[in-house]
Amino acid sequence: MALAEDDDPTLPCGRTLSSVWSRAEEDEGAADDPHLAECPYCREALSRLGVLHRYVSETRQADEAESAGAHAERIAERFTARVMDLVRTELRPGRTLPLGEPDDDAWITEAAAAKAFRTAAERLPGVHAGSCRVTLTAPGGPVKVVMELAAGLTWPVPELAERVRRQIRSAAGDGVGMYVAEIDVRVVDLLDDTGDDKEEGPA
Amino acid sequence: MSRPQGDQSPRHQPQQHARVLKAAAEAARETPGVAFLRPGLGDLLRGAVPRRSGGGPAADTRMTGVRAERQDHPERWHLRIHLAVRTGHRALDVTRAVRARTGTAVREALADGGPAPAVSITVTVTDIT
Repeated sequence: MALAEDDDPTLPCGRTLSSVWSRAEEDEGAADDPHLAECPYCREALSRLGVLHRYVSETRQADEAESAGAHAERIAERFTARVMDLVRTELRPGRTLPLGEPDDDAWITEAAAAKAFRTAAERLPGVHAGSCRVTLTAPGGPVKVVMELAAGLTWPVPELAERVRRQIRSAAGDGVGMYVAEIDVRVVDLLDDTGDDKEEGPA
Repeated sequence: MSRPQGDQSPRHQPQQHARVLKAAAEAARETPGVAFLRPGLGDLLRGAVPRRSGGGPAADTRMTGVRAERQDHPERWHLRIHLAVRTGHRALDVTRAVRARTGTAVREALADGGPAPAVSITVTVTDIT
């Protein structure tokens, strides 16, 4: 997805923010680029990118402390999910969806709504939410939610789907303030229960 | 998200623009349930780019998470506010509270004894955190 003009500002030196990032991420890009090394605007933009690096570092440390002894693969999955949450909400917010009534003139980004729904689904034991799309079924709403997830083997799929739908509907109404007309739950993987630190299966 | 068409520059009354932005940002930030105005990374990065269009520092038409546009004849203002909501607060209720508080704050900031200009506000939730 291309960045909108407004999302890729041009620095006073004439370079776009995205080109500065790309150049700096190349292994030898910064070293071979005297402009990047000397330009105060580019240097400032790159230093601010450190915010993301710090977030990643802190998240990794928190996961390592919390999950000492757990499987490295699961740690990596959680770490990736959190980073992707950050990327979705801050860099790829997606379309905006209406909240409440038209007079409210209130909106929520698809990424923020999806994050709320993924969090709600993952409150169920052994459930790991993946892709979540929230789209309008008609101009002005309501919305349709399509969520992919993986879950422990002990979940009967129909019960799992129904529980996830309930979680999403509750999050939409009580946590967000959005009317959901349709929820499509797709179980894309069944996970071996061993090694998960949550209680597995239906309560 | 309709918005008024018209003068979107601050060249006429930069101090007034600055007052409106400040009042709106403070009111929104202090509303219960608001975690912060617009998730920080994008604005932090954009913060490297000067946003002045003339008239000195007070001419900025953007503040983190808040944009203000003024239309003349008749005067009216449209504000766009981007914010993150704290988990445990219903996003819709927070946006309603922000609209109410911000509207009041902006009208007070614009009050000069004459007829009050119309103020419309769009609130967008960009994160629940």
